[in-house]
Amino acid sequence: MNWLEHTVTVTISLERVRVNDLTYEIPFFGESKPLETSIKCAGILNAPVVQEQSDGGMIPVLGRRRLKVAQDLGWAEIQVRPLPSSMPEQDGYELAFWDNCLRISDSATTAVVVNRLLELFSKETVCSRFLPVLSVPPRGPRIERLCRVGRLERPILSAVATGRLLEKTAVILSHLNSADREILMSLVQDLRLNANTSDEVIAGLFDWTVVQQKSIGEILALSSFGRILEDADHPVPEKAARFRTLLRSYRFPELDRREQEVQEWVRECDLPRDVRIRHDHGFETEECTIEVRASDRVRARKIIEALKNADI
Amino acid sequence: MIAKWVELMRFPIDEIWIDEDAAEEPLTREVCRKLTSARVLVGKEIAEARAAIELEADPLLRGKRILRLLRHRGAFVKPCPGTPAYVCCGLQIVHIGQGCPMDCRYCALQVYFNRPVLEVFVNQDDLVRDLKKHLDDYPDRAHRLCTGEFTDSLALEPLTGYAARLVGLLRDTANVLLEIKTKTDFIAPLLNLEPSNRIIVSFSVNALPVSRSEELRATPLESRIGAAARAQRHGYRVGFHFDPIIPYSGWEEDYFQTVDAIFAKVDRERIAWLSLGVLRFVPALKEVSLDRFGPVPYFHDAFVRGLDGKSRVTADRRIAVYRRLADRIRSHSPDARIYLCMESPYVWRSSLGLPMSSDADLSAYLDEAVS
Repeated sequence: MNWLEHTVTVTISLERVRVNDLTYEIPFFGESKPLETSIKCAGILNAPVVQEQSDGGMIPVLGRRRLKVAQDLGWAEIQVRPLPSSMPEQDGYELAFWDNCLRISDSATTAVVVNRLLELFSKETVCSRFLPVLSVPPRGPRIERLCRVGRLERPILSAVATGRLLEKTAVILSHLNSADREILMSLVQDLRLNANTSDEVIAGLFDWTVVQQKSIGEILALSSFGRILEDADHPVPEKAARFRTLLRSYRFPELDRREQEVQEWVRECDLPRDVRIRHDHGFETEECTIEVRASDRVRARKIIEALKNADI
Repeated sequence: MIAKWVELMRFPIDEIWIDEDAAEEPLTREVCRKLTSARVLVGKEIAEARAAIELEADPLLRGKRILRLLRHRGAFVKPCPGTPAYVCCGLQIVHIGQGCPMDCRYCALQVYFNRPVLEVFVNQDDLVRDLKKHLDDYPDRAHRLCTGEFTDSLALEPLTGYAARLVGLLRDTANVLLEIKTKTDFIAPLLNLEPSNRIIVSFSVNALPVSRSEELRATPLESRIGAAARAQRHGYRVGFHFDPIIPYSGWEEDYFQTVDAIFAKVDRERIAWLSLGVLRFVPALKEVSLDRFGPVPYFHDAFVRGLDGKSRVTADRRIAVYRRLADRIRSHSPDARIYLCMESPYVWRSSLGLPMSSDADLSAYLDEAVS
């Protein structure tokens, strides 16, 4: 049944609409300013669709943002198309889905929608009817991972939607409790980490909490971290770099020790200015790479000849 | 007979999926005869069941109770999927099926196959033909064959009889060595056969706490070691694979206990080899494990990207582990043939003190153990 065919446009008091009701929400993590400008200039071109409630109130089905902007602009009345309270939740959400499906493009919105669809429909229905529209594979682990992400707090979802946090990082956050998630979100914000460095830090701290059987709060309470985070004398990028280095040294103590040994050895070698030595990545072997910079090809040729003649 | 029934029940099968062209194979009829309580699905029913299983939150778990009988169309003998970045042993896999009814939390097969159900290749005659042709094509080569790479060699033996048939086929072939690798104690069919030096019955073993908590539905460690002793008494040579070794805090004592338990029950002279391999995995396995089991501490240890792209603990740490375990093994058996699975010449040299610079070196080292 197409519920919209049975609607008429009526004018109601905006107070009757509970704009924060999330029953039919398709989230939007972008800016509302352009919509506000549009409504100021041209008004609301298409009347929002709402559902009547048994207590006389109404909840948004289509046009939640339009309703919200109208409320923010102080409108007293608004034209809406009410649907009856008898409309099942599934039908209402499906209306909202088809109305918005073209703009469900980021991972966070997709995650919230997939999670909600799975609350309302069977997995078979979701996989066959809705996921292909969202370009989500109808099988495999991503569905469950999206559901986990879809249940996360709004600031995290917003960070994912705007590219400040990777989807895989959000999946890791979903395995932590909300207090630890909040701490980590504050941390990446305070250190002004980008999506990749946020992933490195969050994944590293998560791994370490699992190994140490401690919470994020307990780990970050270590005085060594505290000294960096409370340091007000250095610029944030420098603090972030020090934090990442410290975390790495805790996570990979053997690597850290070997790197320091190599640095010490290189110092002892007293290398000429144009020579550098790098050890094999991860110290999987004993190999080193010697890099010699030459100012020009004549000089390079001389170095090569010297190496050929050297008794190595 | 009762023992066989118990073995069948150890890995209950709810459904048998029979591919259309596999229906008339003798092995298909044999499996159906033994699994009378399983629901048999054919044709369109399989497609529907497959679609349904893919919708489950954990298809792998469900798939462990579904047995698909099919014909294998590719080569039955394949080289072990090793890596050029490390020294590999040159094992050749005899492909009898894929998937495992056990559910070890560290198992690489969780990300290796895109089909979650257990599969048995029922065209046994094709396998035998392919195997014979392979051996005929390379008559001068020493062949070390194994059935336990993509599946457990014996987990489905009560249903398929594959191991027994291969033992019968290969037991007297001079340049062939067949390794039957398992985490079960389903060796009864092998004890009905004349033993041969060309057959190695080998057991994957681990520290007792790892075995108990991580190797879900596998035969208890003690029973595996007991089975090794029985196989040995019957006349087989045996092997042990410490793989994956999980170097958690306090690992040494636990692994030493397993080493001691082996040498307390098994004659060291009849051990063909012992392999060691510290946990390594493709990065996707950590995600799958997190999805299926939640955070498993050892997957969150200090892993770095190895030369083959797999996550590995640092070479220093692996060397220390191998050195300690090898010392313990050698304290029982100074001449034990210990080898490392997928390690670099540097790690070989630093841990076991052996120059192992190529796959050919390692192949020769292992071939020598059974010559």
